[in-house]
Amino acid sequence: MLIKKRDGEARKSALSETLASVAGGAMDRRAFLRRSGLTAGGAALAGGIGAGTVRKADAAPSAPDPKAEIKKSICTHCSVGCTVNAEVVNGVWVGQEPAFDSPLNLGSHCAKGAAVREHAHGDHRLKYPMKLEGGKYKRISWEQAITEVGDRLLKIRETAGPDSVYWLGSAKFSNEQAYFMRKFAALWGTNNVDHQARICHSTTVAGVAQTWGYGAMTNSYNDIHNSKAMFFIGSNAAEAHPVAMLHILKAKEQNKAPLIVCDPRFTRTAAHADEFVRMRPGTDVPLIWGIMWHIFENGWEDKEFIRKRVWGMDQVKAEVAKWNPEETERVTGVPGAQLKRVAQILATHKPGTVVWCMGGTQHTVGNANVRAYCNLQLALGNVGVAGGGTNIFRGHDNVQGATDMGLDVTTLPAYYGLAAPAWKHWARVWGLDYDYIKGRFKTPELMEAPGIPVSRWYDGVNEAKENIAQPEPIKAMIYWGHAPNSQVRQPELKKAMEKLDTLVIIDPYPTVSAVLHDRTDGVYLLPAATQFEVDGSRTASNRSIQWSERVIKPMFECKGDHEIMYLFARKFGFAAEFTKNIKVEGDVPLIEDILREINRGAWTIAYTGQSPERLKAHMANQQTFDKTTLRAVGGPCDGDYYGLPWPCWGNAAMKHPGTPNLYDSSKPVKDGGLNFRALFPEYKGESLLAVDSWPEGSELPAGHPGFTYGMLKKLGWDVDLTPDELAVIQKIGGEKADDVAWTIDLSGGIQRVAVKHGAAPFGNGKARAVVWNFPDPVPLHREPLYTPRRDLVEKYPTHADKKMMRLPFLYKSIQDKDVSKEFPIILTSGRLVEYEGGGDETRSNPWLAELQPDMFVEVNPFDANNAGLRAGDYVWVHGPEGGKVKVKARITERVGRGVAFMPFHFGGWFQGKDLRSKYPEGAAPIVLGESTNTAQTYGYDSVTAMQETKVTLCRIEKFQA
Amino acid sequence: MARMKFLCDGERCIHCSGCVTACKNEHEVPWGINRRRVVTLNDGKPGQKSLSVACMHCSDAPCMAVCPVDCFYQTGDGIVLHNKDLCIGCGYCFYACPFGAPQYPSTGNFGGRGKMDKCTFCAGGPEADHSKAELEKYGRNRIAEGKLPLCAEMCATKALLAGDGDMVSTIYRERVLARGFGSGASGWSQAYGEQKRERAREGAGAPKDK
Amino acid sequence: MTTESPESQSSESKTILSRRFLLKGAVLSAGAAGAAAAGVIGTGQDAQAAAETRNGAGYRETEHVRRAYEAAGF
Repeated sequence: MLIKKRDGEARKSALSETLASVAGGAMDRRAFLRRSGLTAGGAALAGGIGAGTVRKADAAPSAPDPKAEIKKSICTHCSVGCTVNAEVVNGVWVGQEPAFDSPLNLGSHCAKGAAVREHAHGDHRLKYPMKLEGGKYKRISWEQAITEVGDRLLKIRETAGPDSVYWLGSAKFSNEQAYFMRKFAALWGTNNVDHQARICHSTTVAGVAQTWGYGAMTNSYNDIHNSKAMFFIGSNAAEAHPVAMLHILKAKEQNKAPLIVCDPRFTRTAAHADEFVRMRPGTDVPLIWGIMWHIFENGWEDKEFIRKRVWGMDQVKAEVAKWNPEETERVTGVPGAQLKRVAQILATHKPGTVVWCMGGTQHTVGNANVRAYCNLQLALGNVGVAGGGTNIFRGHDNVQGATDMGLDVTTLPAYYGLAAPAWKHWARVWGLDYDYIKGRFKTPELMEAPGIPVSRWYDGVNEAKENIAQPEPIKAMIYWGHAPNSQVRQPELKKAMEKLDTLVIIDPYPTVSAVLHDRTDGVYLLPAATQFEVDGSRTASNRSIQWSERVIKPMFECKGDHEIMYLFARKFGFAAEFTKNIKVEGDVPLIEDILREINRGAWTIAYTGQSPERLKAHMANQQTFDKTTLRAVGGPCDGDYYGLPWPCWGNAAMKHPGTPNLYDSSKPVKDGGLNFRALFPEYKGESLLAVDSWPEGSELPAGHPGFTYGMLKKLGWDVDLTPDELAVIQKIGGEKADDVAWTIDLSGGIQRVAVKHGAAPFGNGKARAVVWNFPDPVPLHREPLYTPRRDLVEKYPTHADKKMMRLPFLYKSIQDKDVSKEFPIILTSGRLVEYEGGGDETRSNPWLAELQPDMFVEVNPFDANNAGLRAGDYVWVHGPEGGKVKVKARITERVGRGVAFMPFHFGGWFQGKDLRSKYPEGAAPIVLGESTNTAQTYGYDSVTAMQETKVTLCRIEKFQA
Repeated sequence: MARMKFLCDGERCIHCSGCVTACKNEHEVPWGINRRRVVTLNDGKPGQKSLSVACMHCSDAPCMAVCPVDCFYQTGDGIVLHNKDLCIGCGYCFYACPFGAPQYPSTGNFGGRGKMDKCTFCAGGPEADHSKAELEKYGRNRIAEGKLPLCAEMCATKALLAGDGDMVSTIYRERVLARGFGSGASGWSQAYGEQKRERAREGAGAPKDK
Repeated sequence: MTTESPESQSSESKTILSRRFLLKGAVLSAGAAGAAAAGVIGTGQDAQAAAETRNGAGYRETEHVRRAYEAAGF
């Protein structure tokens, strides 16, 4: 019953006929892309294309092309690190094939990953440099753009100082670009350089690093296969990290591992949970303490683990004792019996893993939340074991890498900080004179002072001058791959944009930054290439570094970010210093050379063994890596862990395999084993070194501080240093060579010798259950700034107002105002699977836009009926600081009574007004909508200035024009 | 001879819509046409379940039975395809289909729907394999390339399975054995009636053990 | 969703099948000449057999397909 020609000969001729037309077809398609991009701007969206056809004739070659190449790139939309196998013919990206060989995604993609090829259509992209003139965007040349922007910034530098220009980078950069931008800001002479991590996982990075050494996911998505229980809090992996669910559901099925999901919303992840814990937003610490109350009450803690490897648990225990089931229920709303059940599950299903995301981090108490989660795992003895750990799912595909590369107001690359020794170290790596770099700053104090965090940049413009601890306010803002609509207090942000001298947007898309303000000039749009148009390495959440190959050449007049940085460096007169160790081809710095420079300097987190050659070999041999252990079995990468997850000790020649699970002492350090880092060897005379615990096979079977040359000498291990290594150490240390530590030894010899003897270069210490250098050393519950529970404010007040990071930070003075009568509903926000971040990319993608055309608010039927709301109607959501948004009502029990939820990916509407006409022609995203952050409010973490997006108050009303 | 089948494992589907955009990407299906979609039942409540739905390529396909111009045909692999040159856009197949698979490019009164479009199991249409006409009317032909439908190949959680019915049921059966219960492989019996007995043997559809 | 018994489905479809193959012959002679030359017109059973024998470009268990199954079974 077949009506199709199927005999061999006929098929052959059909195929050859098609092949003959393929080359032409592909060229047509490329021409089509150029044409549609530069002129038409992609109007042909709606409706079918004539009767019966599903696609345009010139869309793609129809047959598998013998000339087709597969380029391996990395998906841009979350931190799982899915390999994208792009099919390219004659330089045109014609198809996507599943990357079955990738141990991370095994060919899988979510809606976004399966749609990334649309980047290469680029109908809604920024196509050439533009400038706002008389309220209209006009096309200019790159040369004019660099000259004009450069002149404006140089003038600001001259008159106000380098700190008045804010360089906001991106988690969309590759490691090399992120590192390059941090170096660029250093040579410009400012620490006002940041990226999305500030408003995503900064509290995790700070809190977790201070607890046990490194602020990153301890294990991996794949390692969850080994988990016997999974505890999620503030993570909706099914929407934010869909491919992670492949690994999570595998553990659920194969290990019968219970999945526990704590969230104010019954999310799509919760729909797969064995236990859903609905909590009041902003009560993470009491919830965790409420669980640990049962653990301590029943003696379920791992006493031996705590004795050997944890400091300060007794102080935590004293705080936990206050959180009996009654008090926990009073504050969190979770029934005591349920938390007892959860505690029992965790105590009887070991090892268990803890997963958290923005639901935990984006709070005024974010740093305390993440430390409470760590303490839960420390009490259970679940850290440093396969199947355990804190599996912190990062957001963007390279937010881990960009954080590691120091695109951050508080540190240079690799968490060296900003003190003089850090600057001297990087000056040595860069081959530059320390005094030259110092001279680039307005004052030596500003060189070592953390900059203004991105979460507050607009306060760096709007705040009274005397309140800003730098010479002049911010006058120019460079939005380099960052959506503005992902930041709270949009009306304030808009005001700041209007007050600036210069606003520059460097991005593949115009973004909301192009339209939010009412400026008529002083705005520049520079088209950047997407990551599919450049080479570079990217670090997945599990610290695996993957080499992402360029799929196509930059489209239109777009340029790679590193090329744009080079052009500006040349304009500013420091190109030679900037690229001293880096080959520049034309105007394009060689990505591999940038990575080699990173390898020469990033010793603290050992981004040193991951040479471009090793990373490329891993991508080429993906099939040889085990999909649970991530270790290569045979083949050219035999013994390596996939992507050489950092720390990958020593230099590339040492061939360290990378560290798959942090602090796992069951393995030798040379095979990826570790212990907790000895960040603080002692406190008030008490030792914090590990007791009776060391990595398998260590020749130093005791706790010990981090290595120095002097320590090697004491142990008699200095004889293992090569003459070359010794020479480097002596050159760095001079008179004080004994003090040269594992972090600044550019030879890598100290790390090599320590690992050779089985010891961790960073020492062997205890984890700190109490972080004495934070505002709340033991995490305490503090009611949100905007809380509906006024009855709890007295007992659990927020912090006192204070100053840090060059600005005032308000806590008490905000909480003191009771607005809970006028704004009775808790407002929280989160992610949708179809979109990412501010959504400019994904809302411009028709395949995704079609699935989520409207911005909405989720309201419980109880609250909706009380307010007279009907499903699908427009409503106003009013925030207590005066912002309001016009959105559609979704009435659902997904949110509990008294709680409303909005997704954060929308933009392009502002307080009821559609801004579509303000976009450059043809470059508006398909879907526009209100940003939830227009209604969201003040509130920042007391350590990292993370913005509070997860709990504020609102009032929801029927829409009236 | 292999019999091509789809199976969506309701215990695995997370409504990420990867299958939907994979399909859009592969065939450049225009805005408004969804050969595959994900539906969620009991959304936001306990018991919430998601399923990816498209043409199931039924053994005795109701669409074939009702089509007045008989534009449907079934390949030797069991894939239900149709000839757009014959289709008159009457919509009978849409009413007959238990999965809501048939799609129409436009909605209007009096049969102005345009040619019906639906999932081809990535197997093209009646024109020659890889011909331009086939590409334009039906999208890419992965089956002829020696591949499987991209929606299933790219499924985030491997919830959506496609291919030789025997392989699909083997993979699913192993999974059901590992977790100790099945989710009923929704639509499977409706599409491929003979599988009912097999399901009974697996114990699929038994109440979830908690 | 409604479910018919397998018996009623198959008996109904048999009568429709024969009508379909008549029409199909017409389609083939008009459209695809090659297939018409191979002579597909006949009873349902004949057509089924013909389809099976001439189904060269249909499903094949290629290396790609095997990898897809392997990943799905993971």
